[in-house]
Amino acid sequence: MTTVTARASRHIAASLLSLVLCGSGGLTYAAESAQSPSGPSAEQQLLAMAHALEEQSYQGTLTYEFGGPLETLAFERLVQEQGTQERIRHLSGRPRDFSRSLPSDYCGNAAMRLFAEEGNTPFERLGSHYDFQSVGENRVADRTVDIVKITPKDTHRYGFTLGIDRESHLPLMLTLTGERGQVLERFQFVELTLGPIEKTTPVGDASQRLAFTKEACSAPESWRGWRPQWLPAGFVAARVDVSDDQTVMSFTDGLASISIFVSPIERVSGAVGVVQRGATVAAMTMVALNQHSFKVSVVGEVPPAIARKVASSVAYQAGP
Amino acid sequence: MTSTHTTSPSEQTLESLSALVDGEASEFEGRRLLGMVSDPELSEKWQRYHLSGALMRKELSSPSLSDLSGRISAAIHAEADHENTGPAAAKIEAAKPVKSQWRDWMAKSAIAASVAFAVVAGVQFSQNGSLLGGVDDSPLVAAQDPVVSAPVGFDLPSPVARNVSLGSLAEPQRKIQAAVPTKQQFLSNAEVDAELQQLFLEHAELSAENGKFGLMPMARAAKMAPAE
Repeated sequence: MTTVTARASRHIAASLLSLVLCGSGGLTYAAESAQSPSGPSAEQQLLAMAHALEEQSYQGTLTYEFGGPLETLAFERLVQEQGTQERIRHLSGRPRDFSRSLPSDYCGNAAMRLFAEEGNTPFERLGSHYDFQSVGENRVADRTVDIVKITPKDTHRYGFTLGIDRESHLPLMLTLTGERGQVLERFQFVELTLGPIEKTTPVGDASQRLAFTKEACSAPESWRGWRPQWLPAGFVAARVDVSDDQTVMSFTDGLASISIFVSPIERVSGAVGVVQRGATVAAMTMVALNQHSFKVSVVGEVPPAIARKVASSVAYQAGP
Repeated sequence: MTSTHTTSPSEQTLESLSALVDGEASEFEGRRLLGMVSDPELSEKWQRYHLSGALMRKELSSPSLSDLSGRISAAIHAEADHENTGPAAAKIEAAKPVKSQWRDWMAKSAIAASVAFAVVAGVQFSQNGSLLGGVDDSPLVAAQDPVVSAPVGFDLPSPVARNVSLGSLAEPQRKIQAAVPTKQQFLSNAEVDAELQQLFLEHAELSAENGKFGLMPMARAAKMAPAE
């Protein structure tokens, strides 16, 4: 019940916000210089984006570029009273097709809570690790977007640049940038259709259904077993699954995420070291526990040194 | 433990292996051994030696441990004793990451830069990092990444030097975290490629579930085609 109320108030907040944005900026803003002090602040733009991401139905085609390679993808999101359906399909390379359904009373996940908290101080926690800056406008998918730069305050995470659609507030471009400002990967829509869409491509067996778990509604605080002794400040546990053959942990700071996999190994095998693809880094190492060997893999959108540091800090903790 | 002794590694190889574990192998030995870690039997020995070595080094100051085989059996006994001192205590003790003098060995051998099958991140970080969620200001030290090959579509991050402090490196209590070298020359084979693909896929799924941008991270679950 409380989630429904919270959601309703969020809807109202979003409507108010869009009114404010349209009233104060929407019509006149387009004619003004992007750096105009009268335009919405970076925080306002991000807040509008956060709501649009939850409430907009849309479909489009986008590119995902990481280093040299380029993938093209079809994305669709349908928000209905009974819930939300999402689907993403690789149009290039090996066919891959993922979809999922979220219930209408979806509680939001760890990153959504961190990204824009309810209440009077949105971005309070995110703001202690990132700076937000509105830096102008550009055009993506034949639409005007406002560019918001999210710059990390330390070297433990990457920067983000968002191109937020002025009309719908959806992010139409997202780049992750490294320490020297180099672009590590870029998601960019080439074509976008707003509003509910005809279901021309029903989700069939070809689509791999991704599970939605209720546990995502409440992040674990502490647990026994494998866990990192060190994480960059601001990262919280989003999900922890402990079983005999694998421990899986997922952490997020609201923007970046880190996954940790620990599993026993019979003998030394597989990769050890660090690899990177786009902004994602995998650091793989091994640890010993009671004469058994375990493979520890840390994967995340964080600098390689950070992934390694997290990997080397993973230890078994008998108590919470 | 279950390996058959059809083609036992030579005595010399085993000695070299234990020397390598102790960070005492010459450059040539290191090079040769890294090439041989693909041998399953030797690989298993490497693992055992490495684990024993880690236990040993906790007692390096003990003067009674001079003979290698004696040291290893002592270490194994010590490890067995650990298990008898109460499960909780033993688990916590043994859960500490394996330490080694890897960096010393790295420094001795210039293998990294020159050999295609060099290994493994020898990374030194201060181990006094703050606890989960805490504020960390421990310095990062430049990574030494000798890994020189990766499967199609995966890059090896270039080492980024920052906050390097020679002073902190010289501190004797600064420990080196070493991963266990393994079948490094296979870093481009299908097995490792599959492992990496799976890791990236699972991470993408978790990011999609826990992240801000919905299913968008699944774009990262791209399967790279083999090199053309």
